[in-house]
Amino acid sequence: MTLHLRDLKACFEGVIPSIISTAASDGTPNISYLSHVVMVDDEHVALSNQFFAKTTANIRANPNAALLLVDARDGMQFRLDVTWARSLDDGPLFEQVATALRASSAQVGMLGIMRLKGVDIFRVNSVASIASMAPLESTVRPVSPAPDLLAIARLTRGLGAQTDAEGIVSTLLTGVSDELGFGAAVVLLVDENRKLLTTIASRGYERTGVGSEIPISEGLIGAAAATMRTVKINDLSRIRRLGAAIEASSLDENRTRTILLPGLPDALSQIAVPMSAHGSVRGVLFVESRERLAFSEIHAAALETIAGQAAASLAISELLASEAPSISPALMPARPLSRTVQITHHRFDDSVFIDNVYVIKGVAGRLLLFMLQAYVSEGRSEFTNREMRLSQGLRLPDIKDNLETRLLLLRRRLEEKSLAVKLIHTGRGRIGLELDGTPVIDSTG
Amino acid sequence: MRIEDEVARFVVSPVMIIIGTRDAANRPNIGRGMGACVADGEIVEVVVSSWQWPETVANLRDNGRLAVTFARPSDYVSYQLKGRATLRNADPSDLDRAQVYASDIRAVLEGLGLSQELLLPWFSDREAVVAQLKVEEVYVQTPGPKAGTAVRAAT
Repeated sequence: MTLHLRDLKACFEGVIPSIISTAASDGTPNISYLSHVVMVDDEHVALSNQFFAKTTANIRANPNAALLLVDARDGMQFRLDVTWARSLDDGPLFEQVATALRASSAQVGMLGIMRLKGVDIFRVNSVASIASMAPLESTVRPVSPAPDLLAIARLTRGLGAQTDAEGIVSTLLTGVSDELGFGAAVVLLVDENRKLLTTIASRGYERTGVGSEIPISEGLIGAAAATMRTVKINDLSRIRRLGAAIEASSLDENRTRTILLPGLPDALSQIAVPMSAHGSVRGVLFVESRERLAFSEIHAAALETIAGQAAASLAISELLASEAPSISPALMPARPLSRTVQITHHRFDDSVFIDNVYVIKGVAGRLLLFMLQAYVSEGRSEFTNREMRLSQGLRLPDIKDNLETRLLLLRRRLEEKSLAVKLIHTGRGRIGLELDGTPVIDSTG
Repeated sequence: MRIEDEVARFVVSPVMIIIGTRDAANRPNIGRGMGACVADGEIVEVVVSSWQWPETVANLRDNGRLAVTFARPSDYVSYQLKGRATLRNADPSDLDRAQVYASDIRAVLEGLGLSQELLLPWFSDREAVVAQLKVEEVYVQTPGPKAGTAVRAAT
């Protein structure tokens, strides 16, 4: 049986290091591990050659090389006899390898250390499988079943039927779990101004992490947002202990005003999919699994399809919400509220505490304060997207196209902390404020 | 050249052993080693399965040119040794050493989260031979700024 590169897909996951052997023109061989091999097409592979000057010098003098690749599912080994064709330092193929390298660097805990300088393209002359002592019966363990196109269509239809941010995000997370079988997922929103991503909703975690933030370009999630490409890791076992150590030093939200990202301490596979619409990244869909090699290219394609649909639906819902008609100010419910709700606002980071519990900071903090102040001074409990957008006091030029998603994040955060202040979605482009007590606002530096 | 103590200790510890050779047309090949030992202070002996790596063994028989990289899986510390090798048949003590190596390296890799089934295809001592490498060059191969620098070249 003739082997083709396409039969070797599981060798290109960056899980088991590949090996390259070259020979100098005087016949001296050289052998080293290789950071990443990317399949270009059925006849070419691309190598990122980060550190080894000898390998680079050899292939220019003698373009013949041998590669050893390992199937990440069953350990089977394959030798590729290759010939160096050319080098690249820009273009789409270079970007593809750069993204793959970022993922593999994260895998070995060296994210940001390895910067891709160039990519070498090799023609593959032959592929041979290496004899193995492993029993003949397949040792391949089942990986996640490939998603069904019908399930993706159902999910896409479901997303298209939603009319508000809440419905879109819930449908997305439920679908990833029920239709695609991945129980742990997070939706994050891009904040272009502060160059970070904020968790809007999650599913399948002990704590939801709603409101937690991660800088753009940090980790897989940041890399997906920065490059507008899907980034995945299919074997986290090597950095799992590091993650567990971070998890253990649980931060005190009230003290640090920092919410921890949700995460599975024992995840073995992760994928971050950009949610792009109208030419820009609006957010990231992050999915985790306790299985090795959980995310094949087909899974990535399925997640990209639904993430794109969700991003488009969110963009449309933002647009329509801003056109919702204004409302006459609703009066506070006339019921006796003897209890006092203590609201503390810190101007330096716009963080808001309710009854000494940290809620949120930044833009979401300003939004909450805006509504609470109107509640106190005007007795209002219902607000429109439009008025918040137009409010001078809110200083909101940066969030014109994701206000609804931010309000959703705020609503979920308040709900999660079981506070005396709640937000209620009262219709397209509208939001209601519900208080269990009389607010007293204290603004400090 | 005499192999420094640090390198000698490293090559006999549970590290991955990968072997580079080339044929008469200067086309490179790859194999794996099943354990190593240091003889006479300047020869490193590596056990190789000629059943699993027939091209590697044929190349060594043909021209003896050999490069071996020893890499520690936990931190990627690596050394590459180069020189000329001769082949001899494996004796029972070589096979014993190969078995000890296999069980030690499997334990190390398993400790790093790799499953036993995954490792099974990598190691074989079937039809084992021993490559006796007369070391001429030693390089630090650990990824990083020192990668590729010579520890000491042949004089």
